[in-house]
Amino acid sequence: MSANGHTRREFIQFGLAGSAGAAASILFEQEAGATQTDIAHPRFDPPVAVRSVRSVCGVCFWKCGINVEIGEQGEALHISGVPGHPLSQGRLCPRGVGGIGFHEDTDRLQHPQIRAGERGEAVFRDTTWDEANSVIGKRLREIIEEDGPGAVAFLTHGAAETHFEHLAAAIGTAHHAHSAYDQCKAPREVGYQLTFGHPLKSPEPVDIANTDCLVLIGSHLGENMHNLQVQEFVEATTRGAKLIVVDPRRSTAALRADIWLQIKPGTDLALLLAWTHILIRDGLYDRDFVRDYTAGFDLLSEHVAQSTPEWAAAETGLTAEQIEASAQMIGKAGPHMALHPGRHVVWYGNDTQRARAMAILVAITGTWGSRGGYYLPNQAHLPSLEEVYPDLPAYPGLAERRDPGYPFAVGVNVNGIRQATRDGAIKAWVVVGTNLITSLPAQQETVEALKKLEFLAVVDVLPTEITQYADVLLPAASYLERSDNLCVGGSRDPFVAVMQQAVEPIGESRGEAQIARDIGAELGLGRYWLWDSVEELSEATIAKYNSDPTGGKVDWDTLVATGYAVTDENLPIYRQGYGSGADGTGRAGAPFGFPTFKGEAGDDRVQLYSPDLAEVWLSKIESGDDPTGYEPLPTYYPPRGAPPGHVRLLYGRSPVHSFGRTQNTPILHGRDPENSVWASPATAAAYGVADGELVEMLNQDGVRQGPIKVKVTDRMSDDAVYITHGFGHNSRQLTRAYKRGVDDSALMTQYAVDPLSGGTGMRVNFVRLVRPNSA
Amino acid sequence: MSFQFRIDISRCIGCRACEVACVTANDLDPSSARNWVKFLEDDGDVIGNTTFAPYLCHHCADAPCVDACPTGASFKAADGRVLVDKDLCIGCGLCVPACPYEARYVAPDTNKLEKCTLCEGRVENGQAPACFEVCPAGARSFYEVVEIDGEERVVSVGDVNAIDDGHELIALTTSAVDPAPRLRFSGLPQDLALLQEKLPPQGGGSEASMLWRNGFGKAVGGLGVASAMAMGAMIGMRMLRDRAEKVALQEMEEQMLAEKEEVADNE
Repeated sequence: MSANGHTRREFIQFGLAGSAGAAASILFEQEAGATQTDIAHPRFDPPVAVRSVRSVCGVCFWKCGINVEIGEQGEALHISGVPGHPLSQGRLCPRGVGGIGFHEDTDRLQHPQIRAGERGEAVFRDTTWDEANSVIGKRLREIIEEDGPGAVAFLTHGAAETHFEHLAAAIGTAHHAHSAYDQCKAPREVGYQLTFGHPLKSPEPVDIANTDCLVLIGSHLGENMHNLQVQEFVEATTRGAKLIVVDPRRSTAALRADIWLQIKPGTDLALLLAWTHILIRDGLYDRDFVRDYTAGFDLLSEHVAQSTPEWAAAETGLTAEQIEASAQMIGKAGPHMALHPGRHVVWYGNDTQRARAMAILVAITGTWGSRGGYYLPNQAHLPSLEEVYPDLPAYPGLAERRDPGYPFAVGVNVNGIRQATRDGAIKAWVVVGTNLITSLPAQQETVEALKKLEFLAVVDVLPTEITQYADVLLPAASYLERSDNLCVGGSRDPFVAVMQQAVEPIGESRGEAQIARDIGAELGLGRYWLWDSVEELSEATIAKYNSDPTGGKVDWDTLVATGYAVTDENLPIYRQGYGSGADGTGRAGAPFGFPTFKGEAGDDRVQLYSPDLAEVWLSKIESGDDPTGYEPLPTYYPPRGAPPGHVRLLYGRSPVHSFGRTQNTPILHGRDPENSVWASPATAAAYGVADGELVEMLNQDGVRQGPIKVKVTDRMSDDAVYITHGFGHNSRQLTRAYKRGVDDSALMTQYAVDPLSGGTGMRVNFVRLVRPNSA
Repeated sequence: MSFQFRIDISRCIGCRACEVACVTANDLDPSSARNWVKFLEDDGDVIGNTTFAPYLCHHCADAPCVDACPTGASFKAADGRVLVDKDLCIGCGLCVPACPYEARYVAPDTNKLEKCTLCEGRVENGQAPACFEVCPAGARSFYEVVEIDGEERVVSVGDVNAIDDGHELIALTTSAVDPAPRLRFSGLPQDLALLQEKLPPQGGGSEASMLWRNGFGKAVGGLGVASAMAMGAMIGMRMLRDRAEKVALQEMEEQMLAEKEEVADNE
């Protein structure tokens, strides 16, 4: 036997019998006791980390705790998780660990630039920070003097957007909007607020870890990687919690489902109304909760009396049996059922009403504030800027922020700003960390607005499509390269986390905190920055927080070393009697109540029937306007059918990518370099295309995108095709991502605006698949 | 000290964080694939059973890749890791088809053999290998088997979930192919059945491994011991740089001679 523990016999047999004598003898001195395994064989060893920095991931909005491992030369080697972090528990998604690629991407913007060609041509000349800031200051000042502060709009996204919120407020403009609202969660915020009087916090407080039945409608958890939710999703389904998935596509989640409902797109509200009908019919609802905390149950019952499973089956393409079985599964879980409200709920233009129907189900099943349903989240309350710096000058007065067209929207709306720009009311944009070309539908409208602006400043890390239009383009430091604000997430335990610089910014890139401050200085607003650095701001905030004798304490050194600090443990998160454990007492007793949305006294119940909506609905009827969509109880309308020869375009996320921002990142690009179009065998046959073939996608308005590979799969329904978002990049400077795959947003020439929230529904486009360069 | 590791394929959601973590932790070319996640489907039914199947080098106790290497670059460390000596490796690729799990490949950028190293540096530091550490589905567990008070005990490494749920553990072996792999799989019975059906050594297999089993292996075998040894010796000699490697080669040669004599004695 050799020292390795196995014989060489196989090798000899392989080499065949019969030796022709030994090869030329290789005699060497043998070192006593040496074995092959004791010898130090040079390994393929990666460089070893000498220290690490705790921070917050910035690749998506979830804000997982990260541990950046750093080598001897100060280079970032690897990103691992932070044990115990309330939102990530030591694990990361592919982008959390692959985000190191942002620091290594040679396509990064590195120098301030000034436009030297036409808007959109991406022709720039390099300049200095001083000149860039000076130009921004001069142009904004001119526009503000001529047309007032409201002529300047800020469109921002990311952890650092608070610095631009501050700048916008100091300027005195109310026009500060986020695609994360009307291109993502606006309908569900409004739907839940109309029902419960509370918006849903983000991350949504779904108690997946403890649920007996998880219901996902149009949520592809497992392909979207909301970290803690994914972890809990796997734990819960592994231990036997039931899973119902409603999706035209057999998503990763659907693969694990007990019941998968392959629903016809646009008919979800019919299913929700039928479920409500069945639960009421069979008494499978929480009578106590309904009696004690809700209003309008009788009106609701009457409203869903006709929403039978047979009716819903005809609308949804499901069978009555499936609808009954799933309703029974939901009912059986009682108050321990988690109906996930979904994210990116801007689908068909009736999305707030769909969210209302989901909120109504959450209410009548008694799952609000119940273990395994929705917990009542805790969030650390950090002192405001004004509390930390009492000498901070007051902001100038702002006009009412609510967009008049959307009576229930909270905040100004990106689509509204775009429209106002096309109408000439807004003259300048400052765009920070958001690629509006691909996050908004109807690219033609965005381009029109961009070309009409008098001035456009863009701040970004990569040369994305929006940067191609900038008058002044500023290179931002990535999240690994800067310190930034404290984060307080909503979760079961209140906590504070801190973003800390791990590596040096590349080129001349700078953190947004400094960029915002310098622009403020150019505009003569320096008096609004009473801190020299964001680190100073964070330390001062913690010091102020600690000075409150009633609150918790956060030790700054511990916070810096660990990356996060839980400020209070074991706070109640369930209502009395609905907590964990057999007797319902664990973490129970959280205060909860239901303020009225419009503050009407005495009406502090969950509004199953919405008097707020009824008011608007009736006034529309009285004035002769179309009341469709404003109904006080969710009302189903069938979706528009596909034009002949077309199928609906559906889209979603790849777990390897975040929106459209990671397709160029070296490592993540390597894993998933382009998207493919999922088509059912019947759809592929109808278009005469085969698996793996290259096709182009042609939409109902003649917009063509491609080529893209077809993926023929029985996981896709016959009435739609599906691609992952974020590909088909159009910016040449994104050398890896340029022209790889198809840009779904380019095919979204139509969109349906939800009248209650202003959300821009994007699943209203239809396509057909054609051979490249053919009609 | 040795390792055990297991993957629960029914937990896996196919997110591929493990693939990405390996690339960053080991500073690899972005196209590297020392570990990978496959998606396995039932061929039969219209909408049949499916499973994600993450796996990597099994660090076999009886590794055929070590045997197949002509230079001694492929070796087994005392702690059970199957590793590659980057100086001895000449990129000949003979070991690639020897692996029943297709866990090895020659990297085009370095022309050296690439495979999982179970993140030695990280483990020495008390962390689990990067792919085990990152998994958001808690599908991977990694344990050290250590001696405590004269007893062999299994301790988990890093902050990795312990999957002590009583699930059955299987190894991917057949009666014909059993290199004593260390990797075990658990999961739902129908998922494990699909794993055994579709993955090597039972099912499928890449072209390379088919070549080995059908023709390539015989072709190389036909070279004969002397020429194989001579080739190996010559190749090895070119790579020798210091006494350590010389001793390794001498030991291998002596071993083979001793076994040849043993065979001769028994005839």
